[in-house]
Amino acid sequence: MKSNRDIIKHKIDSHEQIPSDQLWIRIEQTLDKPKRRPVFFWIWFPLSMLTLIGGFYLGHYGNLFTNSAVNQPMNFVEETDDKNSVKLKNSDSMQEFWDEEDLVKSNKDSIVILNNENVLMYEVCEKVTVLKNKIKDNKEHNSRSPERTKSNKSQSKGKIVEEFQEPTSQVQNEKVSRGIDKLNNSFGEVVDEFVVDEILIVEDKEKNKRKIKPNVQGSINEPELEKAKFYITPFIGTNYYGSFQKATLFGSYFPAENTSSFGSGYGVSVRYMINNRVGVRANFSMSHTVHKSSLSYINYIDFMLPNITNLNFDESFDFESFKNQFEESGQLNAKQKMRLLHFDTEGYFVIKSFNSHQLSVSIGGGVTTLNQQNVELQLNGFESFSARNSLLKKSFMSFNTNLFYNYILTERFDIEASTGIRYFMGSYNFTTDFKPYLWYLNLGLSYKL
Amino acid sequence: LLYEAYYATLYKVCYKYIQHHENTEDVLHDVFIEIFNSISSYKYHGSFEGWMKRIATFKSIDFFKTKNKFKITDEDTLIDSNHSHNESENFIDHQHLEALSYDDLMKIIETMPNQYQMVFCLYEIDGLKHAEIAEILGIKEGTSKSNLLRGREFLKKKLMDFSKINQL
Repeated sequence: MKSNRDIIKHKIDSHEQIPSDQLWIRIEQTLDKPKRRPVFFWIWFPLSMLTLIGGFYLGHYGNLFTNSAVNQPMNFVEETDDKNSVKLKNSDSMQEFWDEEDLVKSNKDSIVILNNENVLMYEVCEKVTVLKNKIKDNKEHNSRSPERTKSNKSQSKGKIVEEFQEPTSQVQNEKVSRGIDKLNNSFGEVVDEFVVDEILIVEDKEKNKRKIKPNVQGSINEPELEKAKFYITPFIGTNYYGSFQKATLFGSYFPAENTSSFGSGYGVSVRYMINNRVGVRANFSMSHTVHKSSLSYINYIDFMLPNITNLNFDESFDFESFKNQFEESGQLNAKQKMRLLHFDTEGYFVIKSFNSHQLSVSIGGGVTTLNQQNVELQLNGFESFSARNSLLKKSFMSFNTNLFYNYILTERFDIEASTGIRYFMGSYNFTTDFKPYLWYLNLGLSYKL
Repeated sequence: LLYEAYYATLYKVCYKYIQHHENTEDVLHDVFIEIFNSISSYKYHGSFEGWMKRIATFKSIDFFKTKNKFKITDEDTLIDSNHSHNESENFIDHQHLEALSYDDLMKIIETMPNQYQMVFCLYEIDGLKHAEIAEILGIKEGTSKSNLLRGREFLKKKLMDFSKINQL
């Protein structure tokens, strides 16, 4: 005997009603459109690398982090073997300017070379010979003690200035004063001495002027990285969580596709520098991430039961219903929200140290504790189920390696950007074929003790 | 081929919830896109038609919920004693139901209050259990039962009206 339900169902099923022909055309058009691919990773990765490299370049060669007066000499000087000494890149290119200034008098013994804004300036004074001698003394002093301290530099600068304060006329006095001011204002803490090895006077017959071609060297006193012993660095960052091999979420009966996703992290590290090159570093950090995987149903739902019942599903979860729907759906997408707690120690090695920047690497290992906070199961075409998994809480060894870029901010603080990868020595699943890794990019502020 | 084989079936699945030709076509468009995009993830386990119908059902329910800002509250759980006679699967006289045309049936369903209509369609037409309906709609099983009974009562009342009109 037919039930009401059968009659209603029959009425609906037997009714012929079809969509318009336009529908298929619309579907075709939509399908023909190129799929929007997830480009976030491919943008995020080069952008982060660009930021790191760009930050380093600007910090080292540009004037992003320092005032213009401090950095200007960098445009005209190049490094010499002595890391505290630089020389003009191409003094010839500046000759014309000096002529235009027309401040050079005929006395070659009265030249002081200054730097102001973007150009070399000069003033007249009669004490250039004294200057040369004095600088020569300084050079000898520098060569004896290349690891000079800042206070020593200030003293040498003060002596040079002192030497200039012996003008022989009112006009020259003004010029010298102005020159000294410019010297101080222009170079500030950057250049504290000049080395005028040679001054050539070249006759320019066409212009009927004399050209000055000094061979100038100046020392740069960029803010150096404080050689602190301890660095405490809180940091935050983003991470990319993935696995090298296929995952099996609930055992080998449910092979899963390997997928990955982005997360966030934060933590604090402590670094102790044994010397200028080598240190040790301890990190304590937390990562939050979501691991996505996709499972296919292969008629072994009963094998899933012992595992899935370890998940503390919501009260509304009906396993029988879930089982039936999974069978019909054939595909289950799982999202596992996870919290990873890391503690590791690393060897820290300075690759390259500049005056205000430092590139370093670290390598080390430690322990990672994984706590799966939430599992969300989504059947194709069905609703979601949420659960907590009390089983997935375990610890395992991890290895990690990092690349650091440090930039001095103040005497007490450095900025630290780092990227690294953490490889877990084990699997958190019931099988051993899941090898997760975490790739991260962190930004921190180091406090120096 | 897939479209030609199933568009009529899936159209009906969607239409009973949406009851508007153009809107149904919009939803059916999304259903086929979903099917074509995720067909590779179908592992040949379970009924393929059932899988597609599920997608169509869920897309339609989503549309229905969005369009009508529809939400069933569990206050509807209370069932008064007068409804008990509708708990039987055969709550309507077969003759009255058989006499009803497809269009008239759809009109009645269309005029049914939203909260009854959804449960009625899921239970009577799609054959889902109350537990499943409760999960899909995020309500308690009792609410689902209550709304089904009220939907049945609504249908019965409308059928009586139809038969009176026909007798006249």
